[in-house]
Amino acid sequence: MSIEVRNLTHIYSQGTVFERIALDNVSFDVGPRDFIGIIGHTGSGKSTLVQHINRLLVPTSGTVIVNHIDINDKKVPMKEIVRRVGIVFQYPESQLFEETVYKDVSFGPKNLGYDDEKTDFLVRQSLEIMGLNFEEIKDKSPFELSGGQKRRVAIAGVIAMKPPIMILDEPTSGLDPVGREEMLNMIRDMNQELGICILLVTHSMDDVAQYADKIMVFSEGKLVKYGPPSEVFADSQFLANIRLDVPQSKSVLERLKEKGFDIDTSSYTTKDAAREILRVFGK
Amino acid sequence: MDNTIIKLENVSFSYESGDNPVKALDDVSISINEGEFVAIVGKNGSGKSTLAKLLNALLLPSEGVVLVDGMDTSDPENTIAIRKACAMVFQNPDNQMVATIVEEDVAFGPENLGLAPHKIRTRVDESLKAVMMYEFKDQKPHQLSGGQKQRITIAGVIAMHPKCIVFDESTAMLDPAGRADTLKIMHKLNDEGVTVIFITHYMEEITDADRIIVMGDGKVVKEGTPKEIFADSEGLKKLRLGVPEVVALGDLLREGGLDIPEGTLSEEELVEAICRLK
Amino acid sequence: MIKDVVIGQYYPTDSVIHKLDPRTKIMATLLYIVFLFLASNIWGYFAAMFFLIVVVIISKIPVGYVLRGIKGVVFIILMTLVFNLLWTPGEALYTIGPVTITREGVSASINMALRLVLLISGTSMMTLTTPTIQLTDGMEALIKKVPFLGKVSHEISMMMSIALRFIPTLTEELDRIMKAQKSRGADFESKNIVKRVKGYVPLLVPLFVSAFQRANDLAMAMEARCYHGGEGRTRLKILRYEKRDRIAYAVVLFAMAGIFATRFITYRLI
Repeated sequence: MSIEVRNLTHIYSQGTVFERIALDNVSFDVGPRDFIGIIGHTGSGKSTLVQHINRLLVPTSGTVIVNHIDINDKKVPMKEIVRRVGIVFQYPESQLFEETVYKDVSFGPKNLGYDDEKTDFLVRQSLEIMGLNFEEIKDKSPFELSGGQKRRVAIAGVIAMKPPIMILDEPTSGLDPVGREEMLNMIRDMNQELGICILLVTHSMDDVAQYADKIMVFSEGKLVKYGPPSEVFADSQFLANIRLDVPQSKSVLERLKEKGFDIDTSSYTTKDAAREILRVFGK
Repeated sequence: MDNTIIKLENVSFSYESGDNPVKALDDVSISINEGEFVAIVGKNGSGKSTLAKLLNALLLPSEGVVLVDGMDTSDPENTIAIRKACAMVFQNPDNQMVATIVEEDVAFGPENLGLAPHKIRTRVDESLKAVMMYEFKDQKPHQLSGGQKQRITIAGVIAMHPKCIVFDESTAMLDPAGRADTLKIMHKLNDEGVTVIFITHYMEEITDADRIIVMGDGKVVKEGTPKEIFADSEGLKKLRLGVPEVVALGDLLREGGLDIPEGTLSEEELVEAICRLK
Repeated sequence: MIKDVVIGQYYPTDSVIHKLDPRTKIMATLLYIVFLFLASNIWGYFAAMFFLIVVVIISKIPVGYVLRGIKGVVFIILMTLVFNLLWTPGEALYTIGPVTITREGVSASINMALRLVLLISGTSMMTLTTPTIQLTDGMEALIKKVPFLGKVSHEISMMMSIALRFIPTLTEELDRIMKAQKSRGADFESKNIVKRVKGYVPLLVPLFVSAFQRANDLAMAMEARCYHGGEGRTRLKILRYEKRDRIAYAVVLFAMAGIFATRFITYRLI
């Protein structure tokens, strides 16, 4: 499954005094099995963008092609789109509504018209992918779970539709540090083991540095940078200009270079940075 | 004179859940001095938020005593005075705003205290200026960003002239810019003498705190300066907590044989430490 | 989208009407409604219309905004027009097949339509010139004077103000939940009524859960800010009648007397 976005523009309240350009002529390709980190300030257009990938928003102009299908073609039913693209909004636990976890997770598969057997399989599988014990949790009310469990059940509800492309908007907000790491690891597993293409929207430079294959940087409605982390982080001055930070480890390397160390500043993960510093010291 | 502002003595708190009571806090004793900046961290469900609500008489202890500015929270006569002395900013700014106009919202606290209108006006104006939101005073809250909204709720609390402010995960729902602004205001208030108690999941935010209290399963597990607390990354990991990235990098370098002092918390310190080894 | 509805939303200008005390405007609107119903012929509506036009001119609000409120009820106005036109018995004017249009019918339908238009544009003048917070304050002050209700005036106005405060928040929330469920294949546009009604469960349950959560949080936040009911509470802004309010009251009473006097005009236009 690939995504091709061409000249995508979205203008809110066009023709009124409230007119605001949220996306300005954005074009990019995403390959199957990619893990993309999408980064930018609040209001930079990243949330508007992801809602175009499954027709929740219709472009003012431009096209979105998902696996060779123009998703804004009126003849394509919404069901065919949600089958391909799953989206997990920020605080997804607020969309839980059923009496039991099982029923809630099966909402998506049922809507796609899957039979009981297939639904059962999908519910079980997706709860397990999210690290939950199927037997233990399936008959519980989603409202009596802890915050972290609710979040996982809600995400399982999207995974259960088996979308080859998944968009996650700030899935770690409000979790404790280990909870954040666990969540990101589960997302990485979905990408590496199940081959799901991931679009992760986040504010955290450190998270995209550690997990994403490629990074999109949005600023004022434009896609200003798109490439592997090493390339995106190479120009820290550019990132600073649009008020984004580079990962701390990278910035330590750059400071050391300024102090006269003969050091390669291209690493951006904690481990690689440590390795590079140790190399300089001959250890 | 004793300058303790908050004192918890052997405090426990249980709430009913189904048939059996759940112990959210278990024999906690804490003492916080006036003017301190204290951070409280712990995994989800470790009792941090319960603790915060006890400091404001929103919850009363099942056992033990909570003293705020010398007043016992379990005496209903003290409730208003306690809430005036020790104010609270919560997580979701949307759920703390009462009025449809910014300045009216800031006025809510002073209005409840029964101050004269001209006094309320002065306090509203000075509080909005303190959080750099004065020019937004006539706007509607729902037109502001998350960070701006949280600054308004902080102004609403400052307007009550509290001695102590509890920030209960007040940065959790904000973007990095909003978080940085909120943190800056917290430190500014602390410099002006307000005691700050800050509950958070973000370890990078508390490297400047005077003291960190680590909670786990309703108990105080550890207490110390940031240097002391972050020296033990392994222990923190066991409590589902982490360390700031700089500390993690320092740890890796130490493991690799470089002599980086424990408790190196900021980029500057780490870079200096490495330069010294050259 | 639901957010974009602007009927009767505050429209700021620097007019003297905007500066009037909200109580003056609420009372004037109430009087206006009462006298609109006391008017018994078209002259009364002309008088009311004259009064309203003068108010609109002074308020400096574009006529389009004032009329926007009528858009929503155009259908009802047309219906009353047609019903009155066709089914009022009386002296026949025209007969087209089985349909007879009477003199009384024409007069009644014109009167009804005028009354509705005047009623709606008149009340929207109040909301267009007064911010909601002032409206609730004004109502609180006025309700205080009403026996029985006086005791709960603070609670009533607090409820109104909180409701107004949370409408945009909950609208956004609903929008978000709707998008989330749509992405899970929920169908809100089904032609089948049963399916459609069932389709709203995944929206309403989360919305109510969230509303209760918010109410809970808000109650706690209010308590933490020393809220303890209306007793001993002061206000940032205190309502005070100015000279312009006394003049406004005099003008309104004079105008209302004028509208009332038209009852005695016997000359019929139709």
